[in-house]
Amino acid sequence: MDPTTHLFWITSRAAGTAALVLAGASVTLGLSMGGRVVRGAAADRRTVHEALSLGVMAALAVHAVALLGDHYLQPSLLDVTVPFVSDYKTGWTSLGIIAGWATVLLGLSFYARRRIGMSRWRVIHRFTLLAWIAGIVHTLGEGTDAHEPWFLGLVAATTLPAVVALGWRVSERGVTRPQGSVARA
Amino acid sequence: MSTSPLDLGRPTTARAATRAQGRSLRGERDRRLRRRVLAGTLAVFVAVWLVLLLRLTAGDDPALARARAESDAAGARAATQVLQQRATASATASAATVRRLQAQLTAQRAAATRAEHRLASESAAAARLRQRLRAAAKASSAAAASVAATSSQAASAATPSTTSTTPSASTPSSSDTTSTATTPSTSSGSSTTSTTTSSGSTDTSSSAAPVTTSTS
Repeated sequence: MDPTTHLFWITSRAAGTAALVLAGASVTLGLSMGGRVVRGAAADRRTVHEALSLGVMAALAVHAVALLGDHYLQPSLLDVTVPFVSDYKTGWTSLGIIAGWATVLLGLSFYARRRIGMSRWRVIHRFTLLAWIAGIVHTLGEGTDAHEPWFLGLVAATTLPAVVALGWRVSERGVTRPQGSVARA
Repeated sequence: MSTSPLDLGRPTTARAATRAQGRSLRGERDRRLRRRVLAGTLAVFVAVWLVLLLRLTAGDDPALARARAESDAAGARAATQVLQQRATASATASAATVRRLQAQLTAQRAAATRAEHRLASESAAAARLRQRLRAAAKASSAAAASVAATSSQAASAATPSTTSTTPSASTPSSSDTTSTATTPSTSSGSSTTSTTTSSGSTDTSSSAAPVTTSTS
């Protein structure tokens, strides 16, 4: 097996996996920031959350751009950036594209939060969770390694903490509504 | 900008220096955290990339293994189809051969039956011919015996006349009658000749009995 013919392909897969892992960590951290799950070092958590989000965006960009070099699929730029254009597993691919764009736009909205308005931005920012879930569904539906034990273990390791944090956050919100700040997501 | 209780009583320049120092420390800490996150991100990416590369090199890549399995299955299906076509053609040819052989066997059986019938009729004809031959042989034997008896009678009759001194004895009397009747036989196709000889002499009548000869 000559791996050089599949370098773009495995690069795209690795970037997608890295994006999934980083997104799980970022979502977990973001959910912990908004409640009272973790106390202290709020500035550090905000910095890490922001860095993880930027890392997710970079990984998503590599995930899409690397596919352009794959000689097997040979997708065009429109195929990897516009939903429902690609002929390859159109539904799963389109879901991934939508999730990717949503993640990028919602992440970058952090830098326009003062213009958007803090309360409005906070509402918008919650949709990041839906984008993350859509990304997981896209991964499990279309991912080449979706049925591999090591990959499923990796997804579970990054997803379960976020699910626990979400549950904690929802239950905590039922008791008290925390006062939001600029840094809180 | 609110003043921290710790800054109360400090000179403005000192408070500003403290805040600047705090911002500097915060910035340094943020940069350190970002570098760690970046390093972690790259580590995750490189680790996954190496895992995928090693699996690809080892031939354990799930997509390629699936594609290879599908290719093998397609090849096996094609080979099976070819074998099925060959088997079907062979079976068809075999069936044709069997039908041809069955037709030949039927024809040979019919010929054998006809030959048996012919043999039976010829055997019957031969039996009939053998019967006719035996009958002809019997008739021939009987005729030969009759001829022989007639000849011996004639010879015995001729012997006393040559020794007699009376000429009347050698001369046939007017009352002697010799009649010969020939009756054709319809059954055998041969003729039957009946010869009756009557001798009118009184002195020799004891030995001259009428003889009937039948010849077939």
